Amino acid sequence: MIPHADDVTQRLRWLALTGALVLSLVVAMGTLSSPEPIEEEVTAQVRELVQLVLNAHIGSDDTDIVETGLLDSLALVELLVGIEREFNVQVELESLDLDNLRSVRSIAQMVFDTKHGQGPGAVTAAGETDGA
Amino acid sequence: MGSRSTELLQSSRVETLDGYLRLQAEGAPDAPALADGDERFTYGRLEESANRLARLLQDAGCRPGDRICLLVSKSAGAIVAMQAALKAGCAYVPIDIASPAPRVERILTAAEPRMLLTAQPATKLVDDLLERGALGSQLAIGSVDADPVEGKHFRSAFTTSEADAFAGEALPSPGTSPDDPAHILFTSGSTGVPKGVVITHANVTNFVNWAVTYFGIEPSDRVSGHPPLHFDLSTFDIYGTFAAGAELHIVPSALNLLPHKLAAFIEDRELTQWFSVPSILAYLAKFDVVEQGAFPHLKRLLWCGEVMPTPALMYFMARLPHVRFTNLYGPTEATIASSYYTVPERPASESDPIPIGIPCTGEELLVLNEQLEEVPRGEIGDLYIGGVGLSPGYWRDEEKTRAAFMEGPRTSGEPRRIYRTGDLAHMGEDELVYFHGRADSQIKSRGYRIELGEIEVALNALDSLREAAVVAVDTDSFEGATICCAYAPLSGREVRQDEVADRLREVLPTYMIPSRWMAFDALPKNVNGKIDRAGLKTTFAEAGSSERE
Repeated sequence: MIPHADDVTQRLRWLALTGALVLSLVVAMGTLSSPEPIEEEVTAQVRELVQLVLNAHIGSDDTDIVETGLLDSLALVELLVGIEREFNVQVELESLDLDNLRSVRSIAQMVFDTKHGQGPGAVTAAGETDGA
Repeated sequence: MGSRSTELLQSSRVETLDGYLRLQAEGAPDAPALADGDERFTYGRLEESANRLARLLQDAGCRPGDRICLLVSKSAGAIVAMQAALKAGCAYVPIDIASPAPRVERILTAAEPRMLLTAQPATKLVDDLLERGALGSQLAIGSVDADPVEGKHFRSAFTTSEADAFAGEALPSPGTSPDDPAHILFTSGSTGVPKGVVITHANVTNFVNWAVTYFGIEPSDRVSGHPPLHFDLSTFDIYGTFAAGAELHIVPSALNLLPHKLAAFIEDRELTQWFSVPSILAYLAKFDVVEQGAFPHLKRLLWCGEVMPTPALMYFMARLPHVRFTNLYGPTEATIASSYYTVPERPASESDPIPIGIPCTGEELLVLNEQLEEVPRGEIGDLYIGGVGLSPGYWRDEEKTRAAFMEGPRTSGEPRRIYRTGDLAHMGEDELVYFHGRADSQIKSRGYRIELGEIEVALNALDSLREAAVVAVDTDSFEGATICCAYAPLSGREVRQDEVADRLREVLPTYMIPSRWMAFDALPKNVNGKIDRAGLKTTFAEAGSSERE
């Protein structure tokens, strides 16, 4: 009945598996050598994940996915679930700022920082909303 | 109390939508009117800015009856521009700046504006429109900010800095009648062309005067300004605030993604009234960001635009026992809302339906059969609306107007005009009206009103597809209906779903892009050889539930 059911959730599952594999490899390598190359890997994976969740081709790692309206609340929830599965890190929405979510690059940075125990909580103090 | 009721009495005499601001500026020029980010406006300052800009618009050739298109997001500048347009006797047309250029072009072509007012965030859109030749060479482009807007192909002809050279005192009346158009709101059309709903001054003042009285909005109120300008709901938060002499707090759209920060905004701004579509409230509930007894200043929480999920309502009613909760209902064609229901107590069960209630003053809700006769109580029929909120019709579209607005059953011999909402409803034994979904393929997703036909028209225009169909599946998540697309590529071709989505984004706003996809060799057909949409709905619903965690 479903010829090529190509659903986000299914692909996420597949990604989660390969993602975890790649990541554990990368992390293993990272502990041996310098941490620099990790970010490239993370960026590539985040790029894949973001494109999957947004169902869009993202032209550049710096494309603003918030301003362009691509990232809505529903996509954000899927993105956070995806990050959790793929990178095995828990990103707290509470500690996030819009600037953490603006582009593939900023999301990759946030994932990388969270993975290394310096989550975006440290970034937010200056970036509070204008609610005061 | 005395002075307040006097003010209400005065504001009920306001006949045009620029009248509330003028009245407050005369009576309380130093009272706070508007907060946009760190910027604050008193009624006096807002009125003066609007008067100056109105004179500039007149100087630039705007005449009573002209349309002024606003390519601006909700902001102080946008509100000044709306008021200035009205003071010059013009009608304004707010346009979603997140819409792609081809769609905006269709709106501009229909509206034939004298002037386009914009701001920096819409620069690329204006450039795209110019590249498409969508803006005639005569059309003036102005900036609603102090800074000029400059793109690849244009530079704004004026800014609000130039407006400062004009006088700030009240303008002579341009002779606007309460039945003249105040604004035109374009909504999704099933044939792919957005429909312009003409809204008169009297349409809005009737609702606003009822709402200010019913809710008891006072000068000390701090009101949320959440819905975007191209939603008719935004006219309630803006004009309701001004009618009461209260203060409007524009909610930054960035907060829609950050539930914790949105809750902090409500708390920090000490908002007394929240009004939005339900999906953003359900999003707050989903992330459980509302603490017990939070928002101590909040007096009322209102929603409109789609059905509030009962579990989300129960969540809020449990945490905010000091707040009054009111469901408002009504399509754009009947102006903001036509009926209301204040929920008397927390629903007992998550499956309890929340009624859409009883008509607002001057409005009428009718549940009719195909012969336009009232159906017996308890039976589901088509919901029609009559009364003071009814739009005169669709902009320059007699045919669509005649199809939706008609003569209804007579009461006491008087003919009356009614609008066919396309919604299904029943009248309960409790005299309350209950909503039962749509009679057609219009849906609501995250508060946006979407004709699935508009999406299908865009899909059918793609040369890589043989056929495609769009269905909506109700999910229990917070966003309302989920838009699902089934498509079959031309034989021998492979077309990825993200390729289709990217092409759709060139012509449709993001909220219309399907979020679930299935590729077929050929779409399933029913016995009549038509695409089996009911079957597709089931297929998508089952695929969704089996994959849910």
